Amino acid sequence: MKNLLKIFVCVIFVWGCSTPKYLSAPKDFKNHVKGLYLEYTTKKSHSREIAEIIEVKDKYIKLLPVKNEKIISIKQNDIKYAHVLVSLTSDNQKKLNTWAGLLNINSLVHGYFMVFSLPINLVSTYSTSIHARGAYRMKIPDDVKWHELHKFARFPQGIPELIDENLIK
Amino acid sequence: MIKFIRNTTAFLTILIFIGFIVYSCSKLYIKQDFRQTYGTYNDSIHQNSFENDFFKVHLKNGDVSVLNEWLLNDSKDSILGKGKLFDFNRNEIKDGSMALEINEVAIIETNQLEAIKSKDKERIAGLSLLTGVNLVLDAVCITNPKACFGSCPTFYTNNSLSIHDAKAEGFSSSISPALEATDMDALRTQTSGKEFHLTMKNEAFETHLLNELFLTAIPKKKTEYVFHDQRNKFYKSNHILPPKRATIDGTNILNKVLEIDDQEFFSKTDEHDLTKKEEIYLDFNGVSDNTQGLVINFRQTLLTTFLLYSGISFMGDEVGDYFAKIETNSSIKKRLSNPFKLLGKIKLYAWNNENRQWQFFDEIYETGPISKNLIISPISKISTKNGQLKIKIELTKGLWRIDYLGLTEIKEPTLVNHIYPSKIKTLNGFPAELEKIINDDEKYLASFPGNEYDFMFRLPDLMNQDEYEVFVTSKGYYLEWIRSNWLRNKNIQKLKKMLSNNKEVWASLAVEYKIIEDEMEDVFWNSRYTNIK
Repeated sequence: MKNLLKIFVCVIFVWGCSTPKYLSAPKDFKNHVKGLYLEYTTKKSHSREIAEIIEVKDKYIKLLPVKNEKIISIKQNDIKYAHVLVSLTSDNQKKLNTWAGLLNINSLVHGYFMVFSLPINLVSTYSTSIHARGAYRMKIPDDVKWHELHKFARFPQGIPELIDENLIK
Repeated sequence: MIKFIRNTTAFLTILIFIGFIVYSCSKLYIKQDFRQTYGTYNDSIHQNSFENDFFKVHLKNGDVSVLNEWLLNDSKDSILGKGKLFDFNRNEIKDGSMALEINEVAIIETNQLEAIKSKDKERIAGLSLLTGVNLVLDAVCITNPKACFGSCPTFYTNNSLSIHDAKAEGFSSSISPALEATDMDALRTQTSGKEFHLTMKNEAFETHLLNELFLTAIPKKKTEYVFHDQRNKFYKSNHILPPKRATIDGTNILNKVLEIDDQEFFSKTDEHDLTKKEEIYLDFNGVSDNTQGLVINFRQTLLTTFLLYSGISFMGDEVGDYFAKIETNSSIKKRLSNPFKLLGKIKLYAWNNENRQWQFFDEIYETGPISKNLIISPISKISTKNGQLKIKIELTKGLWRIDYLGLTEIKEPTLVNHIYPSKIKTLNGFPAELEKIINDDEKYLASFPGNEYDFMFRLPDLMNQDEYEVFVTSKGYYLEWIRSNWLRNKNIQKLKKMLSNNKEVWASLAVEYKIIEDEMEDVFWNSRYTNIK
């Protein structure tokens, strides 16, 4: 029983903690005034990074990584893979996750039938929860070409000359 | 059960990984054209941008304004609007009416929000459906917890994880100390080994108190059968005669009762009268004039557990008081058995060819819906005609599941061994002492939900026989854990009327049971073997 409870706690924890907070819910998208986010890997680093698009030029892109507050510049040719993350696909992600979590806990009152209801609940609610956490995306270059990318930057016109890049947060 | 659940951890882990795969497949791609940008206000007007919900203006200094209402001023050099203004770090610096000079505008942005609509409707529909299924199962389990949470001590002779493989249920009717009883069950197991292991599990929300436990081992030849009757007397036989005909209300049920298997005959309760009886008629051919016995393998449906738990829930928060009264007040203790008396036992009759009447020869009863009871009822005075014997079985509709019926010539065995366990091993739970269960005394082995104990018995040498047929006898009682939701159903008047066999209350119970009968039976019994294993 302890192991079972551990699984519950882990599953609920995973659901609860992994929300991409930088993305807007669809209902809040019109109030999103920062740039959209780029999920990318480079030829030098295979790790998948996420950063806000600050400025896009013909040869390079300036990004503000979500992990730190220092702008980096990456050449277009150095990017191996890139997706633009637009927004979440759910307006009520927390509520749906709570609902899904409660359904799984509810399996505990099913006694023997928990061996059926728990996996069914778990798969269904996990799938729902994962989808709720999912994001609308654009593949580069399939869905958005490099020259179209600038309109998703914080500064679609480019970083104004008067602004010190180091002050951008 | 607990071990089984533990073993499903790996299975569940796999499911979680499947979830991650689902995650990787759950990306929703859109095209870039949901966002339009315009270099000037005129461009934006030409593209009907005023039809959009909002309008985002990027200024040359890096600020951005989100406007909900906007228009060009008369001199056409400023955009007037209501909304918010943010600095280059997107801190809000103004909220309300504002005028943005056309010359300061870098880019105007509009977005088609239809492209990024919330997908919650589909998710809510899916979760609603799943919630509905869960609620049905909740209702079944709340109405009859035993359908979901098991029953009394269950005994296993192998490492089965399925409740359906339980070989016996101990003292199912003993719901309080005053109702402590001895219960013998055939384990339907033969062994020729020197040691025999029996596992006792607590698979319910109950505290089991085991006073005494022993085996009865009857040595026999491989070709022989050994049975016991309701008085715990043993009989041997060599050959079992199947019925030639088995009918109920003119319907043939022979295929249901020919083999000890998963096929059982059972009927549904009467919707107005839970005590309504029905009769099974059996015809046997080739019956000798020697003493015969009717072999029956049977168990109960979920009706008695429904009644038991209805009764307890009617006690509400006085359940403790009532159970205390059962201990001290013999009339209350007696009244508690009224519902079970009303439902009645399975009554057995043989056709007497001499006076041409049905002649009662035995009645049998065993509480519990989980493990089947294989017993024999000796027919004291046989009355055959040309080797033909007719048997009538009278039973309450919807109360019994009959798996097997057969007739056999019986003789009493010469040797009966009673064997107490030599060792006890705790598989799950608190360490237990053997001395607590080898005598009928004041000492009890207390077993809590999830506890499992393995008892090892040393069997005597088989003299000129091939194997032992093994029976288990357990003595004790159990205490049901009261669920909080039961307290809500308190209805002392209904309880009193139920125990007084009040017709109206029994009629309402019949209706209540009818509503959940199909669902409860289906959910429980369709989960057998293939699914649960």
